[in-house]
Amino acid sequence: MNKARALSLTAITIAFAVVIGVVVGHQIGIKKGIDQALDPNTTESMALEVAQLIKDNQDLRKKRDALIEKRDKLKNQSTDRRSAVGAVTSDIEEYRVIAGLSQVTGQGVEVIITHELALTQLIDLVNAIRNSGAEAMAINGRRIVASSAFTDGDLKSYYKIEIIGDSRVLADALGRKGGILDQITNGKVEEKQGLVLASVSS
Amino acid sequence: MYIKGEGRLAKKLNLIGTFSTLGIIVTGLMVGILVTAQVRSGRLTSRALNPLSSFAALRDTRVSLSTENELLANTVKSLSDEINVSEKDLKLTEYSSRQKVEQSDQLKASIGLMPASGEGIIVTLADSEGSSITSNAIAHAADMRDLVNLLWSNGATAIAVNDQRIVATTSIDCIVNTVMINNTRTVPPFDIRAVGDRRRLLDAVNNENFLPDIHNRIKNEGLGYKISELKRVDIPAYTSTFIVEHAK
Repeated sequence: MNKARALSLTAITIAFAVVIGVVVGHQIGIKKGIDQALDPNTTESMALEVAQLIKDNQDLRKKRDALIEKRDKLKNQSTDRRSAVGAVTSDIEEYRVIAGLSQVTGQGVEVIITHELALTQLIDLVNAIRNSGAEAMAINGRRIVASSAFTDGDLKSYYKIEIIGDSRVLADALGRKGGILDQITNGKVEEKQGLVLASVSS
Repeated sequence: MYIKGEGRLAKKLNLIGTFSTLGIIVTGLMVGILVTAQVRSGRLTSRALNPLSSFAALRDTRVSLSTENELLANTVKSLSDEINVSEKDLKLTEYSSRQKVEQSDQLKASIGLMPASGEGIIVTLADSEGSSITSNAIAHAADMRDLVNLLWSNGATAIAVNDQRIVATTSIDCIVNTVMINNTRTVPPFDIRAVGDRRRLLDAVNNENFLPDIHNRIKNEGLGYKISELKRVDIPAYTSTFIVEHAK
């Protein structure tokens, strides 16, 4: 009787130790994974950095080309003043769009989220939308600009986020597997043509 | 009747029992770890014939892309400077042109294309100086996003993080162990400068009810958090430019 009891006790100890070993082994693996992700010299980390650099350089090239065009118009102001003033007028229109002072229309995406978000999730979501190349956005009809801030009062159980920009790029960036919607918000993204966003003041 | 030898024998048997239990536990632990390692190694098996070559290719690409990034950023900066000079010249030509340029300047200031200054605060967020660094002891991009949001909601009129002006298109993202702001990589300590009512801003960043996670980590993990209140805070202009292609 005692022998049987001792045997079952030993078996339980072994099983328990094996389980603990599996947990410890798994934990070591997780730790190693985190270390690798944070190490700037692993292939994965470098691939991430390279991807970001490619995107940044594309943006910078676009910016450079737009600036060259504008500089040339302004440089010729002595011979073609109308064109120079036109360049400034077109800047004013662009600045008003960025400041949210004018109503804007254009292609983009609509994101629908049908559950409540934590404040930090809302902040992260807006950050990811900006990173995806948004030119203008509105959340539940409220135009979002640089100084738009969010508080607990902005947390709702339904969000309709309209974003103007390259619809394909926005849809891919926001809706891809492991992207922001997948990570925290579980929302749906849909490409749209002719979105209309009201100005901040209206 | 107590026999002296029996006590010693019992102690010896007890000791043997303890050692064999320990042996069983250690063996069990080892088996568990080995099983896990085996399972994980099976999952991680790569079909790449030469993993070193992809690593080297990526490293070279990173170097050339970084060089190109720096060159492009410098070009954009010098083009912006040239444009500013031309706009000043245009302002001198006639009344209508001057009005247009002034309107443009006002809008530029409101969207961050001009430097800003005024009373405000500087919050310095830094990794803990303690010897054991955990994830909670380092300053994250998410912390800066939360701080920037808090500063805007308390009336800040201009904000910059490590001299990167926060504008409508700015995102603050973690890229491996650096933080990317406006296409520029930056590392801790992070100086978050804000122009605005300094009493109000100060109250907000000191209030533990706001940013509870950051305040907990300051207390428990030694996260660096220094606040300076100043009569004048200078914030640089956004040095890049905006791309508006689809919003009309």
